[in-house]
Amino acid sequence: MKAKVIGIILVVVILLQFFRGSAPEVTVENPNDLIATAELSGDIAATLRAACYDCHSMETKYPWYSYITPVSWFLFHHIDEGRDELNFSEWAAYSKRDKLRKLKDIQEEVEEGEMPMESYVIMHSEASLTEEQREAIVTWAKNFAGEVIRE
Amino acid sequence: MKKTFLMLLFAGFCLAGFNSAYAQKEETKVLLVSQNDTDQVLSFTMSAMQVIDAKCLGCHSPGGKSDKAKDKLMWEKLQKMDAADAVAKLDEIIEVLEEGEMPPKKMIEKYPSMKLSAEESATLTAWAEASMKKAMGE
Repeated sequence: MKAKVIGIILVVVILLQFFRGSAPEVTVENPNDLIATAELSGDIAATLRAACYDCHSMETKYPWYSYITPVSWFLFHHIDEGRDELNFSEWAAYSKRDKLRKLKDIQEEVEEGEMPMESYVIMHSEASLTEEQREAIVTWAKNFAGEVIRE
Repeated sequence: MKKTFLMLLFAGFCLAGFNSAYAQKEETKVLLVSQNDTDQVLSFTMSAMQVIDAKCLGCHSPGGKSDKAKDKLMWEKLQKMDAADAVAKLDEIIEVLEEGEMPPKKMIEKYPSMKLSAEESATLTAWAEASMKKAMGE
């Protein structure tokens, strides 16, 4: 009986692999990218890449488990939603108003610990932010907003 | 002795009563200025203020009961924000109005008249858009 159940589960899992879903596109050349167009310190750029860029840019790096359905479904959904909210690769193309809104959102989400998402950090320890790193991002976002409004 | 004590107690109650009555009278200090006052980053038009007073200040003012609401938005603080923060907050207000998220559903279920009419929503949105342009120096 037990063997039968396990067998059925295995078959379902194998069948599911044929329905991985389409992974959001990855592009490496992004002329509007934030890091490419703004003058960020090396530290801030590194932190953004490590903790944010997988979901909030076109430069997503797909890990091994993104090839396993149904994990792939959650992943692709997160990436689609993340890019919808904020896509660093499109930064220069955002309107002034959108930039200011997003910079404020970044301050709030990072300060409150909402971002990066816990489920992401568990699988990516390099995305775990120290208090100092959070403060640095928040300060950077605030200062950058001050620059953007004067554009 | 007893009489004096009772009189003092009575006086004490009277004082407490007056105090709380005055406390309830404290109103939101929102500065209503004409749109031409360029000193303020944000100014409120009469029509916008009427909507805000009727539909928003209950929660989004110092006297409001919901900490969550006060954290999110305090109308009187909006006037003191720097331009970058103000633009972000105004953008959020416009989004909330577009989505019909405020006043909250639970509030409207209890008090249907609190729902923002199409006209009120349009008034606030127009005011927010104009304020945003001004804050961005456009």
